[in-house]
Amino acid sequence: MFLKNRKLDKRIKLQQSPRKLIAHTDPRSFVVEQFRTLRTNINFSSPDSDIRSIVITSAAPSEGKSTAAANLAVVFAQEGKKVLLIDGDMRKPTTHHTFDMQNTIGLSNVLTRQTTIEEAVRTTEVERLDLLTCGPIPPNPAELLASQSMTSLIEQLKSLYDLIIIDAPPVLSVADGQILANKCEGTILVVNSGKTEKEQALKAKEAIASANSRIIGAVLNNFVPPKDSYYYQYYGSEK
Amino acid sequence: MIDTHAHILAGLDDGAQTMEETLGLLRQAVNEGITGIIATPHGHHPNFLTDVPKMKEQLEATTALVLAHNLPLTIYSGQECRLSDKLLERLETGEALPLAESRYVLLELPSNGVPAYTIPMIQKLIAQNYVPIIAHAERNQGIIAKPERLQKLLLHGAMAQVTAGSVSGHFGKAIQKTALSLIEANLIHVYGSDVHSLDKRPFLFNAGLELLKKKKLHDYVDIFLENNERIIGNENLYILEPQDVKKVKWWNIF
Repeated sequence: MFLKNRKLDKRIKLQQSPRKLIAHTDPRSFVVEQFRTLRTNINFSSPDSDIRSIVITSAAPSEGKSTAAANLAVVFAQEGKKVLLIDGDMRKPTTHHTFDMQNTIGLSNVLTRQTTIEEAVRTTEVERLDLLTCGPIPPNPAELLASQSMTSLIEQLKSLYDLIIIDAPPVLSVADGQILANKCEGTILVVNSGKTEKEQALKAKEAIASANSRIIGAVLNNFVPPKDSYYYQYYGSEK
Repeated sequence: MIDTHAHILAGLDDGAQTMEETLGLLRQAVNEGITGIIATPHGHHPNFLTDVPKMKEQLEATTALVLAHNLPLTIYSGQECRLSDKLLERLETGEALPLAESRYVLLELPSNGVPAYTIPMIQKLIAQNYVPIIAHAERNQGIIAKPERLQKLLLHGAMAQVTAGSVSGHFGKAIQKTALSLIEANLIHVYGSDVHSLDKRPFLFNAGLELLKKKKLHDYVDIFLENNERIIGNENLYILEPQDVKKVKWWNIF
């Protein structure tokens, strides 16, 4: 019989998702170095006011928001901060796949008062990083996110965590991104190099600005550096 | 190996009709190397009467048959629940049964499409801690035409089951293609034979798995068999992130 049922220990190997927690699995890679640069830039972007909540969004779908959000959360946790990653994308939630978890309870349950924060928030394999998945998809995501309970939830979470990172839907497709940006102190716009239209990126920027949120910066994603670029070399690593 | 979809109970639906036929199916299951079968007669299907007490009687009789013939098999209770707005009440009152007394419910959609109230129904089930598993998703006309429809159901927390015969080619090339494309897009989590009879709708359990192996989809074989066992243990299923389905070219359908 062919039943050599290999056990599913090699989970990470099996997970062929395009979204990888590279900051956790390969912290010395040069891609992760870019995430650390991003972290430093965020820290320096507002020396006076402490940024405690960040929304990560983009103009169009699949530009790399969730990857950026998850890896950014990991590098902030590695810095020693207590970080909570919230899946605010109630249209197409993905963080539970990234962290290999179930999405049975989450943000939508907390907002509809079906469960408490303590029950919905889960610890991840990354130290100091907690995760609040999206939960069952509600019929009215925009209304839920715009509700007063979302505002008070963010305030309450700020007392528990040093930093809250929210993975939001694309800002030009649905209103959710703008709503979330309005409730947080800073917004990061992910731009996919060679894919995002310039006008779209500009429109997204305007949309975020009109939501009374501050763009702390933009991430240029999927950029392939030229061969002779100094970015491409490993500086001080044995690789 | 566990079979999560089988019409082996005699005289309840279009599956086995007599106890002799049931015995034949059980013997075939042993030959295929199956160690456990979840008996899933049609529940509240428009064409068949649902008689839960009779079903339980048949389940006991079949278990007795297994013991009498000393077959290395375990029979679990279950039902292939037809999509209906009363499904949740029926599950609560025991008129509809989940798979092997777990939280997983085998959900059968009408084969010609995905009704509009499927998603609200899935949400209701999940809110009550049930997890619906869409039976033979690859044979639903709506999903064949637009695999995104299945993707949408999964987004709301449903799981999907593929039929062994569809993978092995028993239902034709078109359905086989759909089945494989759904599997490769990580949209399928559970594997079942949907056995009805010895001759026309046999198990083909290994034939399907062999074909997956031939297509170099070994990982999925492992995942399916693992998930089948996890249903029995009422554990969380192992899920890979759904991908977009590769478009089946129109000239490949015929």
